Amino acid sequence: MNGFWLPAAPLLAAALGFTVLRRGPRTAAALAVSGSGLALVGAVLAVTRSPWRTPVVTDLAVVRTGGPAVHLAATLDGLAAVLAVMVATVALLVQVYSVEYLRGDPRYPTYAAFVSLFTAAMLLVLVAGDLVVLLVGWEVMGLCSYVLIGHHRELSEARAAALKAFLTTRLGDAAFVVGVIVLGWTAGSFRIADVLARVPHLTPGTLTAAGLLLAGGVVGKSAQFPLHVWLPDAMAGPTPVSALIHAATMVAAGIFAVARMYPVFTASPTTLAVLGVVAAVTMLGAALAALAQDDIKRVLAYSTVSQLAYMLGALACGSRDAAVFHLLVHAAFKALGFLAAGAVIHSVGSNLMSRMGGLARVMPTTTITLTVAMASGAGVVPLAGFFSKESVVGAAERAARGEVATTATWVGWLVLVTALATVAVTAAYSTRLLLMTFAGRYRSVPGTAAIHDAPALMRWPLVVLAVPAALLGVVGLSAGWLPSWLAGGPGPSGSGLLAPGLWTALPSLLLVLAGGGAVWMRWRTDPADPSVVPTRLRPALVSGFGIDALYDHALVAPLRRVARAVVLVDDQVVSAAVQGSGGATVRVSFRLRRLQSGNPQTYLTGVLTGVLAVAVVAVVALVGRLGGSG
Amino acid sequence: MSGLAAVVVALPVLPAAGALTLLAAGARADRWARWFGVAVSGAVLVLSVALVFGFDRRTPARLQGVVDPIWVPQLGLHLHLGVDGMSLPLVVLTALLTALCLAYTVRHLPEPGRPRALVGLLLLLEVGLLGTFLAQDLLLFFVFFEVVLAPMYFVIAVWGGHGRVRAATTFILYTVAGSVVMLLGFLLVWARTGTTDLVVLAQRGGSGMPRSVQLVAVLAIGLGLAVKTPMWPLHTWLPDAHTAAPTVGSVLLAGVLLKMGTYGMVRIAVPVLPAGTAVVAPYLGALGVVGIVYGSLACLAQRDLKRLVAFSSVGHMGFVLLGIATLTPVGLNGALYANVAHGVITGLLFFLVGGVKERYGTTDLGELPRSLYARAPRLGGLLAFAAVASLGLPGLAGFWGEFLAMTGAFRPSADSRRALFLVLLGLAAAGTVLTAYYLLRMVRRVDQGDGSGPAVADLTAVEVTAWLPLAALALVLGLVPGLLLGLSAPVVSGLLGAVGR
Repeated sequence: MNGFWLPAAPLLAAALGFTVLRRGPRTAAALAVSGSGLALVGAVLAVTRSPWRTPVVTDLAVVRTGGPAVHLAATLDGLAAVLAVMVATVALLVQVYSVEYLRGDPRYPTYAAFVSLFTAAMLLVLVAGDLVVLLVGWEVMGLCSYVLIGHHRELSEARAAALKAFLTTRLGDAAFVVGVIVLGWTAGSFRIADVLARVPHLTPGTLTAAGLLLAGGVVGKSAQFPLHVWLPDAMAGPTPVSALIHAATMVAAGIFAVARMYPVFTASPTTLAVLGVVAAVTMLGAALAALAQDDIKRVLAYSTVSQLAYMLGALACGSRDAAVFHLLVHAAFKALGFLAAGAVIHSVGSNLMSRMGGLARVMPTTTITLTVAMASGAGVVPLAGFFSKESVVGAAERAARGEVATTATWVGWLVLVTALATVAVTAAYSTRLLLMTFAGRYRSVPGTAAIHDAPALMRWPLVVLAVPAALLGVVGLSAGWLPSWLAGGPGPSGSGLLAPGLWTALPSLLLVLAGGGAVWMRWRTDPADPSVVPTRLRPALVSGFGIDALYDHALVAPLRRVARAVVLVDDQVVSAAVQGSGGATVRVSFRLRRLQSGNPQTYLTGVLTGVLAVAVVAVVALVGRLGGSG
Repeated sequence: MSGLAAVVVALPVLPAAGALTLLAAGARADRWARWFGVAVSGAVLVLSVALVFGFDRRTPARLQGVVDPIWVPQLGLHLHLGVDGMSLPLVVLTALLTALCLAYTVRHLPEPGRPRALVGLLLLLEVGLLGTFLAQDLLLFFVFFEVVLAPMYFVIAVWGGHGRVRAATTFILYTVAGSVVMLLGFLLVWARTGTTDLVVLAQRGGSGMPRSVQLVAVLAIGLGLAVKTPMWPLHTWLPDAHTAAPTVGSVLLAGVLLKMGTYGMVRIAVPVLPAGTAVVAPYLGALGVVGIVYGSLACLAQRDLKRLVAFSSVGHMGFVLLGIATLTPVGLNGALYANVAHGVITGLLFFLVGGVKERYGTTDLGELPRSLYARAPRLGGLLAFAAVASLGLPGLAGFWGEFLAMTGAFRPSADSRRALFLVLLGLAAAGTVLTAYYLLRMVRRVDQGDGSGPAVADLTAVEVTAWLPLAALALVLGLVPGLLLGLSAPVVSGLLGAVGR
């Protein structure tokens, strides 16, 4: 199967959706759902072609640039196919859910078309066989997230969050583009296969430079420190959009890009070390920030940042498969988490957990599914998240023992220790979220009776997603299919090492119990907010360690000042120049002003005469001065 | 004369005949002048499309549709016209933008009216533009280059807005001063080589001119072209001219006039004076990148929508200059791509800003209501689309030029300048972030909001007619880069043959 078919269906749905914006929500919903549905069918068909010993390569055209050639190429391999199933599944469920969630919203048709475009762009990233093609999907995704985060454009925080998301990721992308350029020149082509084939012949310096530049884009897209700041704000968009961004698109693209270009990264220990440090800082920092938030979506957002850091940590420790495994499982439990949170928000009418509580009795389906999502994310055995997280911890352990040639042992230790510490914090914030939302008494205005589970279109996606969120780990590992699916792709995969090991599983289970237990104990005495964080530290955690304020002071404000100075200087230079040309200017303009009082004929005559005069004078001058030598 | 040559000759002759007809027709022509303008520019557009179909795309490096009659026998001057893969896209762009401007003028006549004069001037402008892109002789190039000045001066000075006379005067002073210097450069080339024929000069590749002579010539010629581009710090005429000019004036100014400068650099400086160009190239690249950053910063603090779009040209043309300065095939291809893409996208942006001004009576960002999405969703959507295209989103036209120019900067032709160009590459990449910043701030300010402010009409039929082709082109050129690269790449490798790579 030609890889381009995967993005084709949602792309067509988006294009049609944009042309029939005025046909109303029914047409829009039909187009949107069938677009992602067809993509899912295509992805499932692609996956059935296992095992992937040889990827399907499509090369539609070569674009001559005068430098490295751009190929309009697609590569459909195991990695792309497996992730495409995940992307299409989440996209389809999000589309179905959105029909209900945005019922009555006059902008729903535009919204649905952009979600389709978003899906198409992500699928294009997955199947891209050329770095420039990948870049197209990569940036179009940035655009779609910008538009969708800004959906509630009448709210200034939505407008600001949209701009912030685009610019922060674009900052990383500026580095990514340069990395693409570096790699393109080394191979004489931007085709990924050509680039990867050149990797063994490149100097360490080139590889490190290219890897770090690409990592810049990855850190932006996957919301890792220090470019993570856009993701917590991005929850200003409608909740299904958050599910899409946090699970299937955008943030997943960053991890995927590393997986796709993995040989470039593993060839440089420096790059892997940087990835490891970024992962460690992000993992623990974001989990701590999640522990202090009151907004349920912000908890989930920081959780995403932290979970993605696990994937990056796995990549830093040389295990692509563990990263992809966790990416798949995370997509299931995080999409579920957001959609279930959306059901809560939809009925409570607030994002704030301090206004919730006691919802378990009135929203049973939501309660069960969100509990599955959070427990899976916290790594409770035997849910999927336990297995995928253990595969990451296992990879870190191997790296710490020096079994991974490409990764320094200290990087392995760093990731291992941080990952285990984060396990406890993750269990804590997950327990806190569940307790504050569902347990105890309902805290807001009276009227609990009106609150109930969401309508069918919003409820069923939760049930469907709960299945992989709970079972993907067991099924995946017992059959051992995931490594073999991915094995056919390019690059080393370290297959067969995804099973949990006793010496890491036992402590991490104890840490889950400790983290969750601590919050539970605290909740029994303080049901208002069972955060185990000391009160003095809370403001720092709520504000995400003040990094936003730092950027405002150190980057945005100075930039604005410089910009204002530029305008000031430029204006003065203009006036100075005009005044400087002095008398001539005045005379010329005076004469021309007189001309203007004449009729148009005068102008045209004047113009033609002037032009002829210039030409004649030029020719005459030439004859006079240079005739002899000419 | 072959059919293609007939088309090449007819391209500048037809609008010239149109302008003369209006001149001769007298005042009563005011009634039909606008439709006449649409007819003439439409015919020119058809001719340009015929040129596309008649053009042999397999050999774009070969000059096609050549006419070469003797002009001034005593001097051996020829009326040498022709088209190759480098000029063809610009010819079509000129014909398209002029036709769209005249179609737009049918319903949107700027104050103080006088349609006959306006249409006549726009047609005259088209003569100069088409001639510049078709000329294969230095003096012919110069004459057409100058033909453009006067009509643009009057378009700004008569139909402009606030501060029009000062803006028009600044415009003419800067460009005339540039032209004089440029002419001296041309004369120097002629004095040293005995010919002004561009084809011959390009084949010689600067032989017969020592490096010092080439340097002087390229400085003189480059100055005239750089004023037009505009290259920082010679850009100061541009914001005022754009802000004061009527919508059609801004569209043509940004869409095509600026391209004459960069086109001239690639057409003349690179092949005719390769040694001199190689010396100035690093400075050109540096000034281009300064323009990128400076223009973006100026846009960030801009209080006026029209001025913002004007300043964005300084930044975008900076990428063109960077591409040229690399003196690599990929960089030059990027420069030529960015040339066309900027014409399409910025032309569209100026049209849209004109539409905003007609609706709200102002382009002041402090006064405009935050309401386009709510009040005029199609206009607002198109503005956002144009902004996104302008910020170089991959998949739209603006991306390729920037990307290829930066690709060239990673491996410039002169190895000794590698470090400098790496710095330039980094700054240009940072410039793409700033560009996104100011354009999306503009969208946020104008489009997104609560829908306050007066009710305004959404896109009218004539606006759709004039604007949609540009939007479609921005998409097509983004998705099918081969359309332009297939034309320019062979030409460019031929041009650079002279640099001795």
